[in-house]
Amino acid sequence: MADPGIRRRLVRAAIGAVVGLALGFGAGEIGLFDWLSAMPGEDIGSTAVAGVLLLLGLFAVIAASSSALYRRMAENYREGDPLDGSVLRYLRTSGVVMLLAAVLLLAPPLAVRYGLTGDAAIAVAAGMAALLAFQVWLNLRVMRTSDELSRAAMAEASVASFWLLQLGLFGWAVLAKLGLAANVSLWTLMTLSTVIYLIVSIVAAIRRGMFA
Amino acid sequence: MKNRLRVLRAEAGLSQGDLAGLLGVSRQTINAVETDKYDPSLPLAMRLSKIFGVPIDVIFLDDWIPPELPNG
Repeated sequence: MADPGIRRRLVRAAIGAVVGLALGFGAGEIGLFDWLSAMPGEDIGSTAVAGVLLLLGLFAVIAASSSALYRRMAENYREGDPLDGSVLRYLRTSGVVMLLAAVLLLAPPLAVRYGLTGDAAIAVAAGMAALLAFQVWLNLRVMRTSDELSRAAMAEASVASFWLLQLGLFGWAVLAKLGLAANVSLWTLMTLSTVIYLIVSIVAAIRRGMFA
Repeated sequence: MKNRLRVLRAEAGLSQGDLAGLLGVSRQTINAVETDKYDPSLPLAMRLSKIFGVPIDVIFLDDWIPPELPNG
């Protein structure tokens, strides 16, 4: 007889696969993939990252909307874990930070796609600056209210991704200078740095046992 | 750093969640300390010492032997 935890995960994975298939089929039917394929590669990349952040953020906000829901949805919840209002608020704020990051990643490619240039582009930039300021403020709040393990994992992820990106950027810049690699746009670099930060954050969190 | 936190917690009849609640940290923090994945800050180590009523070096095990002092 399989371990109940493994069985539950397998059932959830099967449900996820069916739902994913249905969503993918639906997206194809409404022409989402045709719409995406008309975008430059870097915009497809950033839109995909934004999609992941959107799903993670929505999951966090919904799961942390009540303690009962959190107990059912959070994979790493154990009976007796501290779960008062401040913990749920912290988790919701983290979710909102991810949702805002998704919006910030989606907005510029969409603005270009829908021809928002000139004065309209200035309005988009101003809106993004306000949103970014709000997101930074929320991020700082998350950092301040985190417990020390989360803060340590965040600091570790920041240091590791800084070194990885600095090293990668230097290597790429050298190759581009020597004519051995193509120049890339700022948007591509930004998307890559976001992906690397996300991966490094997950690795740091796993190493520190935050999903236990 | 190796430690006896799991033993002390069990002797006190506390779950990881109970101890986390007393210290104002997440249960994952307690689990990470117990499984040697995270060394707590000095303030958290001091609070653990106060909760269990034992010195810090009874909780955290360090086999480092200090060199003799020049004037010792």
